[in-house]
Amino acid sequence: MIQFENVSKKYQNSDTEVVKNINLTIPTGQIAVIIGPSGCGKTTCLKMINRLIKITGGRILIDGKDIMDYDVIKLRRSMGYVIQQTGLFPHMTVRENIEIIPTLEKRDKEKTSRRTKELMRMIGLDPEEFLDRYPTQLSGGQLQRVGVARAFATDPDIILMDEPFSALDPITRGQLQDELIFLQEKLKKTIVFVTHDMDEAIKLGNMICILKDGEIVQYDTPEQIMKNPATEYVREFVGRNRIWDNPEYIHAEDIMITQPLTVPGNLPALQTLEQMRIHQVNTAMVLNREGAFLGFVTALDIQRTEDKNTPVHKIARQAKVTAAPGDSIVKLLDMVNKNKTSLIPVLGEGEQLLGLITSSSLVTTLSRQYINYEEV
Amino acid sequence: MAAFFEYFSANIGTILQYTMQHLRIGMLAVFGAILIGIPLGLLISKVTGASKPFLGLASVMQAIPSLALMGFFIPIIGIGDKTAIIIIALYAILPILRNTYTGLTNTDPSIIEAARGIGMTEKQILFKVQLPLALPVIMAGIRVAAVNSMGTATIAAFIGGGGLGKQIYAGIQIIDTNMILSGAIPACLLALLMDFLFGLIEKSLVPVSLRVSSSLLNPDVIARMKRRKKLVLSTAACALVFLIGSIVYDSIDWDSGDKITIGTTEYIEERIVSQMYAQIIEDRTDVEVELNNAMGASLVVWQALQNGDLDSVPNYTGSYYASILGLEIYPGMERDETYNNVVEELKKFDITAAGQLGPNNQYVFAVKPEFAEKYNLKTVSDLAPLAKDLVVGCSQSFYARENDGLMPVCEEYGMEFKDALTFGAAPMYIALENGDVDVIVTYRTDGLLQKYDLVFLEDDHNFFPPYVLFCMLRDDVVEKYPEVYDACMDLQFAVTDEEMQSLNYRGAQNGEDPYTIARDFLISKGLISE
Repeated sequence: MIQFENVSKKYQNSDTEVVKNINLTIPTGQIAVIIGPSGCGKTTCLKMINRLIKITGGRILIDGKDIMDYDVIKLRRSMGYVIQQTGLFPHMTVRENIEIIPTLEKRDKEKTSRRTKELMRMIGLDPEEFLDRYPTQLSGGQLQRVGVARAFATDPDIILMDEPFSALDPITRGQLQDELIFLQEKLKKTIVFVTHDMDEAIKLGNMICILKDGEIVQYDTPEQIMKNPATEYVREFVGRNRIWDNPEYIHAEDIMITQPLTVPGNLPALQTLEQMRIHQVNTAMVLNREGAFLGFVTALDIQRTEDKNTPVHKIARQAKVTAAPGDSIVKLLDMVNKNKTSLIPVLGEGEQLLGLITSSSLVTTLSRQYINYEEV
Repeated sequence: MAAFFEYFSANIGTILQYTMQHLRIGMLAVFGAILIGIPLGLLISKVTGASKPFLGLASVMQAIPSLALMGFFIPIIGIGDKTAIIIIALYAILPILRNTYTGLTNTDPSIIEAARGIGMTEKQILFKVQLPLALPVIMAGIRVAAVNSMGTATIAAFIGGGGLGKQIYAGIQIIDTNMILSGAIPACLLALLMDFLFGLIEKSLVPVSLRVSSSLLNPDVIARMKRRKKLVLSTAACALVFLIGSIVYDSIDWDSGDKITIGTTEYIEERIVSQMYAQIIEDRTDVEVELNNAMGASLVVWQALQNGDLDSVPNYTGSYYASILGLEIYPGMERDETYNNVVEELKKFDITAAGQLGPNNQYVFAVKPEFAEKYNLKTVSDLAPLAKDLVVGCSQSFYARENDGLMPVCEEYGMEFKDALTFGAAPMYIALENGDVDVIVTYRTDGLLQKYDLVFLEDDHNFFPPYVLFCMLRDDVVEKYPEVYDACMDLQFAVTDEEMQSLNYRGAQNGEDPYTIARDFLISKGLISE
């Protein structure tokens, strides 16, 4: 766990603080992305963690211990470090580059070599082919893969990544992002990742920290950042339609009709029909005494019923499919398609009815991106 | 061309010996410059603000003429190879220092930051990253230094050291093109060889990826480079061991026997005279004599005598009278009076005079006979009215003499030359032949005078002080080897002006060996036995 406590940075001969009173907790095993426009202090924040930049106010704790209490070399060796320019040593082979710190620490050669090969495979480079090559013989993407491998070489708990993929073409960048996700699933590091690319932040981050002028504007999950931007600045920075690039973040609970017409199961059919007329709907949700969902009934169903005093639960129909509040819009659309239904109740614990998704609510939601688009 | 090869093959032994000396002087200088230049370069790249003063100082050093540097160093560290090596090394430091600094400070900052960020210490960054990356630039500097040093190593001969400069200076002395070439060509080849050798070392040291284009890098190439690296580095290590060994060897005084050193400038007369003294000393005593006949100027010799690098020096009263001993000259000085004054004055420096040899090698104005005839010149006073249209040629030392040099003599005769050119002893005659100068100032016993058949202009004001050849011995030598003093005294007045001139003529015109000239003469006079 990395904790920033009232951290600030002020350069000599300058009055302005480049980083102001940052409070931030990065949980163990997660990727925290620090993002913001250039000059916002994101790289400064990163470099303060491995003490490449000296903190002038506050403190940073790693697993509860102030980084100033660590030996600086040991501190840095306990973290991987990847930079945009790769920082690979051109006079060393790929193997020498990856193994530089293990070699300096005189670690067991056999073990180091085994780990190097393993890492190479994980990042998608054939060890046989690439280990004895020099950096000048590699493409940009291959170089940065090696840069990532070097950061993981000592098996550190923390990896710092300073815009590692920013210089790569979009396709290569996507591949490296996927490989990082793959690595992270296996290795569960605490990763601090600096970028200026919101797509990258949303793709990689468990948490996203948006900085502006050295201050945190919002620190939250990607979902919250997209759905509930803290300020207009965040909304602008994230982009109004960002959520549509990531529909998996649009959940049933976000788009459901939260107050559909509900009726108790023992209500006679006639009165149910009356309720429908009052609320100007043609469907009612039927609940039991505890509020659990029993089924739904339409106006047509009731008209076809001869005995209008029949309790409505007797004529209620089972829903073909139900959704959980966290189901994404993608899943909902899929359900609608597969089950040829236009009505999906959203149920919580104990079959509690939370809301209702109808084809018209889906249409409304989906149409919003275009309407918003025109507004911008 | 054929004559050159004939000369070359006849003297191959000497030339090889000089070549080895030359190589050693140059290599030691480069080695010293590396030992100073690279650490200093590291230092100034790390200490903010240190680079400007140090690089500036090194540039200034480079700009100081080597002659001036010699003048500065000889009183402090004496003469010989070591002084030459120090001076050459000083010149070699700049390219090494500057390239080390440039190489280190031009490393891509992102690479250094990455190195720091992954937890390398400053020392590891320097030695594992910055230095290997700077090597191509540093090696380029060393190559320049090595080539330059091989060229400048010729100055060693000027201050009593060895090397091919000896061959070149001796050749200039007697205007022997073959002799000059046989020194200059090997010196040039050595410089090229150094460039080649350091190029090989550069290729071995510089990481393969920084030299070979990435498209050509394949496992075979890399393996070949590694093999070559081993070979070249082990060869270089052997050379280094050899070099250090040779220094150690030299620093040990193998010859514990009785030995004195006689030193002179490269001037042919002094070389012959020093041979006379050497041979008479070795004939009469058990003391062994080492000769050092390749010193730059009288002042250099004098300093070497004072600090004990030399034990004995044959020289001229006139050289010492005013400019070295600071005695006042006056028109009409008598030779014995002059000699006695010098003897008295030398006592203050713990130097004993061991008798006059005989010749009086005064300065004299000389012109071509047809020139003398045309203007009806017999004396310097005759020359004075014409001087303003004439160019005079003389030696550097005559030009610079405060009391009996060119300026004072011009003042004495109220003349002013259009221009004055300075030369080494022999090129002056060529300049006169070619008409580059109209009149020269030379010595009465100069053998080249016979070769060029010149006319003396009489010093009618008796301005020039007598230049009596005499022998100097350090007091401690006289004390330790009184027999050496006696041997020198045996040569008192043994040579006349005319004899001296013809001996010089043999040396200058025929290029005969001073040893043989002196030996023939001493035997003919019955001073030594065959």
